[in-house]
Parts: sequence; structure tokens; C-alpha cells
Amino acid sequence: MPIRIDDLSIADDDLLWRRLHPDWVLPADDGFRISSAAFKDGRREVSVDLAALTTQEKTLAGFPDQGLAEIKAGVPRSLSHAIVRDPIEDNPAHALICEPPGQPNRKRERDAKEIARQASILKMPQRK
Amino acid sequence: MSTPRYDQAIVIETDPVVEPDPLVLSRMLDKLAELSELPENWDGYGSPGIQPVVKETASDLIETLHKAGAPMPHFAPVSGGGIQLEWRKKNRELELEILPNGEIAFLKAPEPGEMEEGILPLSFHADVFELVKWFNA
Repeated sequence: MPIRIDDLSIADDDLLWRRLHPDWVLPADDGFRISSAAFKDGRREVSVDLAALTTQEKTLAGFPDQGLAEIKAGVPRSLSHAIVRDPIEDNPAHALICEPPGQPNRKRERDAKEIARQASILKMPQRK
Repeated sequence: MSTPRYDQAIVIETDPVVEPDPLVLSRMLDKLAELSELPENWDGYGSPGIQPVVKETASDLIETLHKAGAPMPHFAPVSGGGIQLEWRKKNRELELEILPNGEIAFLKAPEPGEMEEGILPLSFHADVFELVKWFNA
């Protein structure tokens, strides 16, 4: 995995959107909650969209059953994760939340849980 | 601490707090089968499907969870090819994540804000029994 440099042109208050697989949302006492699984990736970089550069419709295009979560960039950054722009074909808003280099797996669990706890659900995923 | 001799029996406490429920076992295996069918790019972010070593570890883990009397967990795929199992009751939470390389990471949270985490050893059965016992208590 390349070493990623935190892109400070992305402000702490900038919003990041991540699509939600139906299995990433669970019932909770006060409604629903996001599983920490939503903010983990075995490749150690979690894909998101920069909300300022896209729309909910564009982010969800092609994934009608998936939901959408929102998190401020400052949350993963406060856990020492880097936020980098990573525009890809057809999605100039694509960005990555990158784990600190050399982070042990065990801290990954804790961080994902904290990010999920602070994320909010913009759109619920749909079960088939 | 003295090292046990090979002719000494090592007894591992494996009595479940809760009796194993065959229905839970069946539901866990069904969910694993469902997740195993996920195609490439199931998350829309280029994730591979569930990795073969993850399926193998998950089958073994499910059998151990059943014997330990674990309640039905919530199953979630993890981008990159892993699977997560999680339980929550009141303030007690337990997560087991099978990583794409087949290792199992755990996180237990006895109270909000308190967390203990780590990687289970390759021979994880006794540790899983202890985690389930802790959760069920």
C-alpha cells in the first residue's frame, strides 16, 4: 500500500459519503445503527465520495439497493487516518480514508467502530 | 511458571454457558452460504468476493460458536473479502472479523467507551469459548 499524505485541502468539516450494503445497517434501541464493517476494508483504504463534488443520486447510481452514510472528514482524521482525493473514471469525487501506515489490525477494529458510531445514515439500504 | 510435560493432560474449559441451538447453527451456515455468493464488486468499490480462506475459517468458527452456545450473530461482509460477526446486548458488544488472510480479529466492549481488541491465535477454539462465555454471562 502506498504511503498516503493527508490532503489538507479537504477540510475537517467536509462531508464524506459511503454507500451502505444492506448488511451494514442493524436495528438498534433508538432506530438503526451502522456496523463497523461499513468502515473497514481488507485493503486498508476505505472508499468514499467527497460530498461537495457529487450528488446523492450520482453516488448511488447503479446501486439502487444500497444506502448512504455521511461522516465528517475530521472524524477519521482525528484517529490519524489520512484523507486523500482519488478521482477515478466516471467518479471525480472518489476519495480514500487511509489507515496510518503500519497500523496493527487490532486498532483498525476500534477505529472503524468509532467512525461508524459518528456516521449518520442519509439513506437506508433496501433488502431484496 | 513451569512448562507442562507432554505426558500431562491439559484441560481446556469448554462447557458452554448456554446450550447449543441447532437452529442457530443452521441460520449461521445459511448466512455464510449467502455471503459466499457475493460477486466481485458487491460493494461498488471493487471488493473481491469472500476469499476461500475466509469461508474455510468461517465454517470452523461457526462450528465452534455453536458448540460454545453463541446466540445468532449479525453477519456483515467486509470490503476486501472478509466477514464480520457481531453481537450486542444492552451495553455489551462483541465483534469477530475474519480478515482476508484468514486471521480472526476480535473486539469486546464491556461498557461504552471501553474496548479490548486483538488477534486470536491460529488455534482459536478455546479463546472463542471464553469470548462467548463472557458475552453470554
